Amino acid sequence: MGQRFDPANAAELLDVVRWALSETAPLEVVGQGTKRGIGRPVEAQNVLSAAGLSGIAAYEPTELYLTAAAGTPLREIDEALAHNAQQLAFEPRDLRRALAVDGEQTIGGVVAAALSGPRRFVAGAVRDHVLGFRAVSGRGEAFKSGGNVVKNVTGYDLSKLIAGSFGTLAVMTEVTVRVAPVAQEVASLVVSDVAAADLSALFEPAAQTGSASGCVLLSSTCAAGLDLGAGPALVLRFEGDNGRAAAAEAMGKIAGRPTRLVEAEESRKLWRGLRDLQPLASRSGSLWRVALPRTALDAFLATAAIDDYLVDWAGRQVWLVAPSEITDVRGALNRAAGSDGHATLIRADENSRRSTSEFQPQAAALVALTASVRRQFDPKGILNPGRMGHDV
Amino acid sequence: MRMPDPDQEILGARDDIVRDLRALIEADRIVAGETGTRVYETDGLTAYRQMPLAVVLPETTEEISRILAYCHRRGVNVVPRGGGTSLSGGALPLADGIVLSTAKLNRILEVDLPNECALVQPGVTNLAISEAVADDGFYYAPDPSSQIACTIGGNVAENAGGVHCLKYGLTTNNLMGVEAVLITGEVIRLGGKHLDADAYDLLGVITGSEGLLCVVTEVTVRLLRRPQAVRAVLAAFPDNTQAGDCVARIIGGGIVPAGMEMMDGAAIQAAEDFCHAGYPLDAGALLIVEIDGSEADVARGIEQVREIARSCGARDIRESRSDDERLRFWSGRKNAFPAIGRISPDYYVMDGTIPRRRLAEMLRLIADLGARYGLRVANVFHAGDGNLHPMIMYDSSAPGELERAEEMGAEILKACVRMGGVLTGEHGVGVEKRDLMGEMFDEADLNHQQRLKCAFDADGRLNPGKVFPTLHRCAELGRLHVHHGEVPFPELPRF
Repeated sequence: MGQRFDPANAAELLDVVRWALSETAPLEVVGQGTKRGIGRPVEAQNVLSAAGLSGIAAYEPTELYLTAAAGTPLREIDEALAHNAQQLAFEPRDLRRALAVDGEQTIGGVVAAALSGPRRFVAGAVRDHVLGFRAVSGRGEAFKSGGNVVKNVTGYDLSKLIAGSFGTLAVMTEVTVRVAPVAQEVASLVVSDVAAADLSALFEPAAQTGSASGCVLLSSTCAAGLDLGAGPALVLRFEGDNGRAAAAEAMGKIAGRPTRLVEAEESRKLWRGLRDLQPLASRSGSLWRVALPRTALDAFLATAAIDDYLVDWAGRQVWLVAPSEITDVRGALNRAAGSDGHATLIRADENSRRSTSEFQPQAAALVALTASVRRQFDPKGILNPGRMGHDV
Repeated sequence: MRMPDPDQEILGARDDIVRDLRALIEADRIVAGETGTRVYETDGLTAYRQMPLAVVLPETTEEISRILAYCHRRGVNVVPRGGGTSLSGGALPLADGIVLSTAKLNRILEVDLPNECALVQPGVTNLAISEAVADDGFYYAPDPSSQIACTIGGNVAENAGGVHCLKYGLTTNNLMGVEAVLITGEVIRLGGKHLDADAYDLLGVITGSEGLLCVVTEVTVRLLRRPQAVRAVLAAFPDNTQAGDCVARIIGGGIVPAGMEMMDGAAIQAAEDFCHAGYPLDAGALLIVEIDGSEADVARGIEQVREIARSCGARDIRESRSDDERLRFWSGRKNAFPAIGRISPDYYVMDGTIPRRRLAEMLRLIADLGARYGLRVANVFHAGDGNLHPMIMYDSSAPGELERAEEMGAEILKACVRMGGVLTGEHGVGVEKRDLMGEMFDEADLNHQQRLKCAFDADGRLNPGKVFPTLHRCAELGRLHVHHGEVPFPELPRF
């Protein structure tokens, strides 16, 4: 029977990792566990939760950064930022509904899973907003990287490495993120009855306004789920000092299709739903995330032939729910984009998780390099072993 | 600055190594003579010079792979070099190492506008990318002042910045993929025309690794649409404190300028003498604030900036009425380095970053240090992101002046760290700030960075002597210190 550790501070957390190292007792590393279902099931008896390390340590609105203990609930951070009309511009996705779990997302988990939201294609990914962190590596040593400022090239940029590493290199104890002002105005434009092939052409007038910060294409089933009319729908978001005017301007340039303007709070609510994959959340089947060049989108959708999909980032990211055994998602991606892209299995039943590689298989030289990086930070494989693949 | 002791065996085998290299790629692309290698003895940090063992000028990824595999086998150090504009000595040669220049890999391989990216070889200059796509209304955002000469490969190695980082980020935020060769000769591909890594973000750590992890042979850069409108405000203040306040209030007001630069009186004077940008010479400090976006957003942003500048005590506020005028506002700032070069035999550029709110305090400290060390200083800042470029003027022919300038520079950088900032914002650590790394990082921090190096280059062949103050062997760094039988805080609740 494994043990569960809930350290209250970084020193206690360091002790737990040192103990695990000395006993070669692998740890499943979690915050509140909301992302436990993503990736391969971890091969560990013991659980280490960083949820007890909580609280905002520093927040400087005019310096545009916030430092918080890794277990700080994201909700608490969002509230503090909202008080100053600021936000996390990378718009982290909240997949609790899609993964059918309870609990709070923590900032450490947000960084570890690196699920960037709809604004990513204009504002950058999670990794672009992590300025620095403190962590305990699998070597049982506490270390830090980065700082509080954006302009910083002092030493290797380990913040990039820790973001998206799913706790397999080190357990974060503190994170410093970049924060950004909330736009004065937000408005959205819903274009109904579109085809996937039209996405680029329809997005063009929006891109020209310079204010487009969201571009999502929904399959017919997903559009219907959000009451956005018949057929596939395109949802465009405009943010800025003149977001409303920009939306209206783009609407004027899209001829011959039903369009509707969605404003203010209604628009914000719509985008929270899109961010959190609301139209896909309740569909049964395997949930996949696909990254691809936008020019490969049509071919991918045609080949994959799935009904339930949400295309984000102006055609560069696809979320889809596929009947588990039928759809060869990676095969479709390969035919559409060659090796330029990747598909990650985000949610699936136990059998599918064990029979499919959750992360995109990599070229041999990269597999070796990745395993080598892992060994340098966690030589005995005590942190989330197996989470990102057999060697990682 | 002490570099690692050269390997005498390698020095002695120089002729054999050159012969081996000549068998690997066309013989005339190995430069070994005194005259030929002389031009590679230094980079943008001219205070340091060292003749290399030889210089190789490969033309393909395959050739680079062969050269690196050979150096790995033979135990020869390798110093990668792009345009040679590093201000931190990143391309400073080693006596027992070859310089691997990417100068001959200088083609733009593909411009892919539907995917908003371009695939280029590492020796393409930064500016050439933007020029190649200008007619289509696109550009590549990072714009270091050396952009006519610096190469994209060097930009990746240094994570280069520029005046527009505030809104558009550094190199790292504008890359989509690279092809790179490891020291073993293996070729890896990271990213591509899609966004974000599928597993560990190795592209993210290669960027800014200062040539210590691998040699980049192809780069996929993100292209941005040129904004509808761009305008700049030039605001002159009686002194630095008011200009510093203005910077903090613009950012605090939720405005994100495309660029926000500050110059002090000495820099204004030098720039004006050099390129006649039309700067007011009676100003104690000057701010250039550029806003881009839609016409409406720019109009509103410019109005807000003018108001804030006025309320902060700006005496002279101008707004660019044409692109020519906007570029004239920038010309003095972009030529600040050569302008100082004209009024001083030598100068030493610093590159720390501090929290914006401490700009004025830092300027006072720099002025005090200048008086104490008896050296003139002119200041230009990427004020929007708190990145300082004090230029310490000295005369290398005057005994002791270089050492005084370096000592004063180190004082400034230590103060940056004390104020909550960092040693280098965009120029890199290189050899220049190597021995100051301990000001910011403790041993465990540096050891973890070096362990990343061990995963890529366990023998430490790539650019040794740069970035890290102490070189540990990977075997030593790999040792684990474990104590069995300890139970972590037994009083803790667990189940």
